[in-house]
Amino acid sequence: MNRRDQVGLGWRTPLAASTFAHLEAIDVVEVIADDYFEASAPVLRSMKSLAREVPVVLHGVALGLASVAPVARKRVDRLAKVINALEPAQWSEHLAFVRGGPYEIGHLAAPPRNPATVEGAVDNIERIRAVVGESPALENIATLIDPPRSCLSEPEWVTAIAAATGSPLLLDLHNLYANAVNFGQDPREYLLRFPLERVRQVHISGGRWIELDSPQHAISARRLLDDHVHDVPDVVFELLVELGRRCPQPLNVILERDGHYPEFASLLRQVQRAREALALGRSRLEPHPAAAPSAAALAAGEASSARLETFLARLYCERFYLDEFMAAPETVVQQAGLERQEQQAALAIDRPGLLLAARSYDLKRRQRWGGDSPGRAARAWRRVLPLMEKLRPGRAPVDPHF
Amino acid sequence: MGDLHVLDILTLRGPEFLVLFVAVALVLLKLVDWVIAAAERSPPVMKGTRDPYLIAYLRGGQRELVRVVSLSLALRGLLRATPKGLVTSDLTEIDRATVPIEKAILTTGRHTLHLTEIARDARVELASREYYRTLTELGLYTDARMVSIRGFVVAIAMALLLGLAFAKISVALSTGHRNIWFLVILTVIVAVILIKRVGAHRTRLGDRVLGNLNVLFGSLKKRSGTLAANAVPEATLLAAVFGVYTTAGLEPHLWRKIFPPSTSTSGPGGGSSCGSSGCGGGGGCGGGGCGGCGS
Repeated sequence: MNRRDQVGLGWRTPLAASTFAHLEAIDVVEVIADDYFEASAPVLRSMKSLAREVPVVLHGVALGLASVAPVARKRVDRLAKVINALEPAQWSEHLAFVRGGPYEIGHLAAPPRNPATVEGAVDNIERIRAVVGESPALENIATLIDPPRSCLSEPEWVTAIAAATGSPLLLDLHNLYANAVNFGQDPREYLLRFPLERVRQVHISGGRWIELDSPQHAISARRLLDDHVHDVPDVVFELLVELGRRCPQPLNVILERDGHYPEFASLLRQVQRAREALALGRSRLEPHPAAAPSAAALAAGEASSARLETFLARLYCERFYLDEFMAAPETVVQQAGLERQEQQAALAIDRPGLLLAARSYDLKRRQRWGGDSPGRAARAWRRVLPLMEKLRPGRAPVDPHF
Repeated sequence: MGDLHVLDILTLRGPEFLVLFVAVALVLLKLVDWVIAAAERSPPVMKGTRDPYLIAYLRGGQRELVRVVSLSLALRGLLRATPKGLVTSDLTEIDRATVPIEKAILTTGRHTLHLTEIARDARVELASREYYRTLTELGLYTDARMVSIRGFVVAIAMALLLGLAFAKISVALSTGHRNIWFLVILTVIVAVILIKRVGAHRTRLGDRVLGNLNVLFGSLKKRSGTLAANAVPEATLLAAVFGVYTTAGLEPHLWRKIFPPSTSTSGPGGGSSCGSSGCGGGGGCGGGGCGGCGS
């Protein structure tokens, strides 16, 4: 293992005492920044005291960096407040969009991977850097849907954003694995297509296979969901060995676990296994050549608008809208105000992925907000929608498999 | 001119003077706190306060240390609780123990003893002193220098306060007034508060460290009953931060034997570890330091 490699786990309230009681076996803890946006001074002080006992890295989850829409200044300011209070060694955010128009998806969604979202993400990162002082480590996300209107592969898209902003990467190996197996890629080859020389942080976690069987839409599908409530699978440790082999730079590896907590000893075993995997990779060090962004793909690429993000977010958030789209896609797409090419992309959307993603986001929202979105605009919108629905003739039936 | 003003103050009517006296007392208390905090200021490097036994001593001195260590040993099966007290389960464990306070308590446990008797044992007191030394080195516990600074500051404040009260009482008596008891009572109350500033074992920094730990694990306090039976490090940590009562749900039968209601002073049905020993006679309970009490 590189002498400066650190392996640890995410700071979660139910695990707090166990984590603190076993700090001798944990090199670093990752704190979710969004949990402390509204925190009082004593709470921030207590987290600062934790940072004195163990190195702390900060992780943002809801900025929505990878969007053609700008990140709200208020969110950036709140993030800056937490960063200033905790003074973390590093901080990170996801390359995802989490809202579109008035729709809060409630989780991380993959935006169309094209030059427009590269440009949007670069603008957002520069905006954040101006306030916070440094770029986040950018995390690849897992997606159940192949995002429409994409002309870049995920590795190309991530490389383009990281290169344009000079940002480090947080490589989530389970996200990478899930995307690879869900969209027909070899996980190891997929890993090597990312700009590994930029990786500074790593996430490992577990997931489960989910299935969709919708006779109504004549769709059946099976995809791997990154759910953070299962143990890290062997294949992810194998990817970590490969990553350790390809990356000479020090890495921070964080085990993510968000529920169904096993005995803490089991989590410590996974932390130790990650440490060993990294050490094994280090013993076979063979650095990977730096990846360059695909200039041709970027130049000839397609564009997408905020309207497409809003359209996708609405499909993810509103069941009746999704049902309408599945029943009469042409009509819904025309009414959405999308450009011609965006309409075509929407009609060709990965429908099994769409249904699975919408179901997964719905579950996340229910867990987080009891099904409702916290945004003021979204709340107002949701009050109006049922009235509009009553006035609408011929509502699409609800999919019992949703 | 100045004398004229002092005389004006001393000839104020009773209620008006009492209001002024309270204001002066509050300002003095604030000043005393400020001067003590400034004198105790130490480097903000606080690494090393993760040891639950150190936290237990910080919260409640030697008595709490012994309670938490005994609980930890009992949960690990090294101490056995009997109706007559605690006894070491396996004497060979004494040699294997590496933590001095654990070794001392296991040695004491050769003979069945109650917690209070264990705490009085010379070997246990000697091992406990190491925690006191560490805490004073970290600036979390008051040392002799800090106690003398506190004493000096408090003495000045007391002199000012008593001088003012004495002057007013003299003026009142000389003008034939006898309604001085409110002032006397008020002076005694403020004097007691000031004296407690000297007696507090924890420094301001110590209070803050304990306060931070309270906040850090505050949400776990109510969920301590959900700890797994073998989660000894977690139970020990929660007992150290909040008091042994937080672990009562873990092994209720064992817990009742170790801390029987008649001798328990920090359990839910008992008194409070704050004041009796936990915070140096009560003075150190400010600043959220004794967050484990009162719930």
